[in-house]
Amino acid sequence: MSSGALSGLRVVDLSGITAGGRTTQLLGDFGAEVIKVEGPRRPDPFRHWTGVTGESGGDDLGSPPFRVVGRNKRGVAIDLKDPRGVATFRQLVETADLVVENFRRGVMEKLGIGFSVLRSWNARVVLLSISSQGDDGPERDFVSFGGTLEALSGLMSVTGYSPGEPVWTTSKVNFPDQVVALLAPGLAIDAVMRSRRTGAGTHVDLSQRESVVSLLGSLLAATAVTGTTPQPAGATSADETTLCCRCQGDDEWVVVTVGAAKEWQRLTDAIGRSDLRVDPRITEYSMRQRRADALVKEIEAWTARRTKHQAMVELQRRGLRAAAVLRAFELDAETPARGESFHVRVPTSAGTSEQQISWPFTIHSDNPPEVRRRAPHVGEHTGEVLTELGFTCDEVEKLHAAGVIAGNMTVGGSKSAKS
Amino acid sequence: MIVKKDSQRPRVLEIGHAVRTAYCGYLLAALGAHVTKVVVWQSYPAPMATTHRADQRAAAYFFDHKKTVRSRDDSGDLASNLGDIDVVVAGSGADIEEFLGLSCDAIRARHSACVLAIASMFGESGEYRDLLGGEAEALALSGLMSMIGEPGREPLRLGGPQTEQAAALSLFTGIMVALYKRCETGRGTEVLTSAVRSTAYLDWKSHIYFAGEGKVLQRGSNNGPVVLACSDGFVGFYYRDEEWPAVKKLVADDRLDDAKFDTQLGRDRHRSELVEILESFSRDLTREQLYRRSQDLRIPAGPVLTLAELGGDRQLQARRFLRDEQVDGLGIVTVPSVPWTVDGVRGSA
Repeated sequence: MSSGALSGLRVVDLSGITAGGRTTQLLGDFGAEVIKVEGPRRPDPFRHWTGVTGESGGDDLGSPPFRVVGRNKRGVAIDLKDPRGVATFRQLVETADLVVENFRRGVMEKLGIGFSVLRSWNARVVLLSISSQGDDGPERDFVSFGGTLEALSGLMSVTGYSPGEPVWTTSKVNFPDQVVALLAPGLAIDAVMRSRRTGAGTHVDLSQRESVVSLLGSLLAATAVTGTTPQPAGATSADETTLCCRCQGDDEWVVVTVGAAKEWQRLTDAIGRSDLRVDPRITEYSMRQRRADALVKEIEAWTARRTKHQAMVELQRRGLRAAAVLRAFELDAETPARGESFHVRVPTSAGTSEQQISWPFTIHSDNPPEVRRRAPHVGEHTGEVLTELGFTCDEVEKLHAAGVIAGNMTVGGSKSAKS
Repeated sequence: MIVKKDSQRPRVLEIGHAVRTAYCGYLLAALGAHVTKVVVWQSYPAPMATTHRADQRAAAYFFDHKKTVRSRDDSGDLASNLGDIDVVVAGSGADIEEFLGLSCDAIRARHSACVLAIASMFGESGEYRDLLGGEAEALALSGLMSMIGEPGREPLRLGGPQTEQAAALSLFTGIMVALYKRCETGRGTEVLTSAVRSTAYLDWKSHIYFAGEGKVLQRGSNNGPVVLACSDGFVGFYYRDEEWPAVKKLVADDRLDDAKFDTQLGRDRHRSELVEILESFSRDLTREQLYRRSQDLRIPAGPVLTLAELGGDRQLQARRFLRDEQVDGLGIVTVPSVPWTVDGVRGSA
């Protein structure tokens, strides 16, 4: 058992790819025991993901994103299409607080492991279902990925260079999956705490599409109030002008936000262009917003002679809201300025370690989050986990020989289990 | 004044008027927490410091199910009642001191069971703490902004206050972790996040591809899925290699039989030509038609809906996700519910 804050929380993880996998990864980082269950012949597709770079990365730990979402989990391979696999899975569920899944709707029931079945096995189990559009409704069975949900949620309609150029975050980011994986762990923990109090498990149905719409709630409400539909406007927003200006170097940028007249004065002073303050085309805030493109060109005459960090520092010194547009690989070097690291070292199967993003929040206690193990190979801990459940050596071998389970049947280097 | 202990639901004191704290409090209230919101304004509902003026009033639905008090009138009362509070949510340690007249250290010393949960914009330590800025600046410093947009053009911001809301989601989950731990130990703890930290976490793939393979991911749609123009707007057409046969069936254009389109690599290399062929098909269809026909063939596609169109959406209507709410001074406003159900009930069962 870990010493983390969520020590004692046992999770059976049926999820694949990002939204569910990242949810259970966070639970594991904070000390929950996470057992990832995969099909022996159909493991998590994220192990061979080509969606980001077009390359799958080789073996079952070759995919870089899988190595992140798989950390702090043990891996068990069970064929849930075989009744003996379901019977084995049942024993896992009987010991669990939480089951997490993000199958297509109906798959759990088809496998014979829908919530009513899980609850008959374990009255206090919580099922967290993460799906594209929720558990019911006419489009619950529609197929989607993060990108399509950005379209369906309205996010793409307010993100882009202009109304004719909607932009999505692409599979490199896949924004809907990421925000859901921030919310879902909290919902799961709350449900587990309730089930422990009441003795009754619950089914939490989390819709990814609704999650993204809810993050546009204030814009949605404003649409209802004003009758005006928000449009994408580059880096800027409706009531302040954010200018994204090119700096020295390739693809280097600084953003500066100018709202009040006082900020406009500071900016024109900073770039040595007090003449702009009397330019009749941009004296008013609304004029500046309409002419943001032209303003960027004026300001770039100043920013292009500076690095993005120099520009940020000089503009901040003038009392302006400004920041360098950093890229991920630059964040580590910013650790002293931030006063905190965003990274953690994670062991690899080659015996080395690699740097990964750590956690979205910290807790100050005796139980900080940590990485205790790398992502598992398919079924790497099948023998170990089944042994803990009380399976005998013979039972494990029979299931293995029948192809119901797969992976590593040894426990700590020796053959499992009780005889 | 503060909701008294009457159940096992957490009692939360939400301090300030930032989106990140308001949204976190909203989520907690939806799960049944007793949330008391402390504001400094003399009037209510108080505006929030959002980036959009129209939002400031419209986002008053964040105050749902919260009791609101004004700190100037009640700060002494607030501090003396902290013993009844399970969680203090704030936008910074300085806010806690200003609103309650107590430092975080003092609260921890006097109320060891209390969870202190702070979501700042730029962090609580280091030089960043004192930066001037808001949504755009946090997005820039998180690394995520560099990934939004097209190659060769400037990075973009996402619509809505997404960095603040990412911080709210992080804080929400952090509070749950702390409450879980408190169930065992009886002791509270401090949960810290920031808009920058939470948003950087969303861009985790950029970090691992750089650390694991030395690859710097670039923003832009240069491989795989495409956005297609239709007669009345756009559709996000998220086809993958396995859907390619279905795409060919859908479009039924002989030009797609060319060997150069046989592989994903080939389709990416000839992306402009591919899009031209696909759009020669899609431009004659409405978004709805392309959506339906794609889904019939199990191709993940979705129309780019405007916010005004969401109200008429079949799926959202069937799930009763959007609701009309009376907001003081504004009349009826359409707002989203929370995006989950528990045993079929929105929010908390």
